Amino acid sequence: MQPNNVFSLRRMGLYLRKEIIDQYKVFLLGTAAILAACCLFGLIAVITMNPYKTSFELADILPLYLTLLLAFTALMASRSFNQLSKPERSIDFFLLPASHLEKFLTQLIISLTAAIVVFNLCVYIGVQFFSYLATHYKHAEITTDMDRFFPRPFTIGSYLLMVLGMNSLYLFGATFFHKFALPKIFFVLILIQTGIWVINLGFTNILFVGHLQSWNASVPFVVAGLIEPGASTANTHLSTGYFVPEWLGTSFIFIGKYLLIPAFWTMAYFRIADKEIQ
Amino acid sequence: MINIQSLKFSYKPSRPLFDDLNLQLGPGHIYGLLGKNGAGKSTLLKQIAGLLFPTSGKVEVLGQETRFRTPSFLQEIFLVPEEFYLPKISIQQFINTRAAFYPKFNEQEFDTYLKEFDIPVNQKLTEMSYGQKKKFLICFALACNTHLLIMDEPTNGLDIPSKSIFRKLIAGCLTEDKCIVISTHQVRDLDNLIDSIVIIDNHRIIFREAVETVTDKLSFKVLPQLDKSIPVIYADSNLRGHSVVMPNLQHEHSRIDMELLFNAVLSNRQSIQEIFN
Repeated sequence: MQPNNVFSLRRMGLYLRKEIIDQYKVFLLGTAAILAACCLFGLIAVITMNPYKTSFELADILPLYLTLLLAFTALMASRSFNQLSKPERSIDFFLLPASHLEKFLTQLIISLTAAIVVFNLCVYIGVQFFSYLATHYKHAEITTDMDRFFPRPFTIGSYLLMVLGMNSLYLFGATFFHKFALPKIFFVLILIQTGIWVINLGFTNILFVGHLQSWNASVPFVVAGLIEPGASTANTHLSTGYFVPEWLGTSFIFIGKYLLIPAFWTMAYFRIADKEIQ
Repeated sequence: MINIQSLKFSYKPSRPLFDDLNLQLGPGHIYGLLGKNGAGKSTLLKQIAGLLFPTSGKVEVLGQETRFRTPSFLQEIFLVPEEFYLPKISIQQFINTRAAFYPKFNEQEFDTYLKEFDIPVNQKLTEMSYGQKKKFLICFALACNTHLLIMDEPTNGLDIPSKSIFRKLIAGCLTEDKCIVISTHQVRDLDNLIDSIVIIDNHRIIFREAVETVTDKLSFKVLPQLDKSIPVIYADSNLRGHSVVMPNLQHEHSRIDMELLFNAVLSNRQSIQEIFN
């Protein structure tokens, strides 16, 4: 019987199982390391806690949590195709009888599961450990203000979108770089962002020549700061920030939220499907 | 089984590697792919396995274009590369995770092959030497029972007894619907194993004949002395005298010497072509 050459749930399950068993030591060690780091962080936080502080607000760790979550997401996504760093591992990857879609989805599932489930579980255990130590040994009160955890307009969905966005960027980057992918992708992203900023500077300085508040008074896709000629005097310049029209801003947000992520995943998939082993 | 038509391929646009290469290999045969370093053997095997894509032309295996690497194609092909990867797991875990992808995998055969090579079943892959790992991969490849089995330098790293076991196993597993392609420099390892010879030189197929045809048309002998009256195509001097390849004018039967044939084809291509055309 001719198998389905595009997608088979059974085959993907087998492939996922194979990937987990092949790398179970790496996964276990990685999880143990994160868990140990979270608990150690909790222990250090308790030891260095201000003795006169009787209450601790968990939402205070939100910036650190978000930074680490996104960094971990980037790390996991960037190592999705590290088997392509060596020809012999690439041959094993490409010649195993599963479709490119199944192989790609497996890596996507592993990288997202690690970031969303494993990382958060480790952080949760670390926080519980910290709370236990703080309440029992420092007699501190631990409070959780959910409104500060999700300050408007952010919701849990916003954080999820950030994780997915970071994953899609680094997963796409991982199809270009297989060794030391994380720093390489990070560097390229910085270069691309700088490039966009420079191009935007060029355009705004050409379009608004003589009207820009300063040569760098613009943010790509968002705003340009222009001098108001009528309201300005010889010594003072009154300027106004001209934001992109609402319909354009909404379109940019829509593209950023819902189109860029699947677009990067799709491009990553096609890059894997078109990969050759030299 | 394998159908390569007008294959053009280059790693760099300025240096074409294959230019209009055609090759058809059928089932029921063990092909020996021979060539010097850099002749293009590994590139050709990668094209057949779908690891490289043609610039133009097509490479088909069982009627499927290899470049798409579809599961239906991949489950009918197994490549044993010269440098291979095995994960850090046990033999049983390897079988549990990979055998399910090959519908015709036979665990009993696999166990038999392991026994032949004297590899303990409960050993971890990480605890094995390079040679043992290679033997393990050969056992797995044979047990997958794929229609096409490609091996790149399979005898590299095998000890002397293992080489004869390898020959025995390969010869034993050939059926009418299977095609085995073995690429090697160790041509003596393939003696009495392959039934067709493909020689590739300078990225072109310069010789493709069945062993039977070769022994019909050429004679392989060891002569004590070389005489100008003997029409020698190629001679190699050694302690026993002179190993020669010559036209088989008397229709005698001689055992093929793969190394001599290879050298004869490379050094005296025109004479060989005249004999075989």
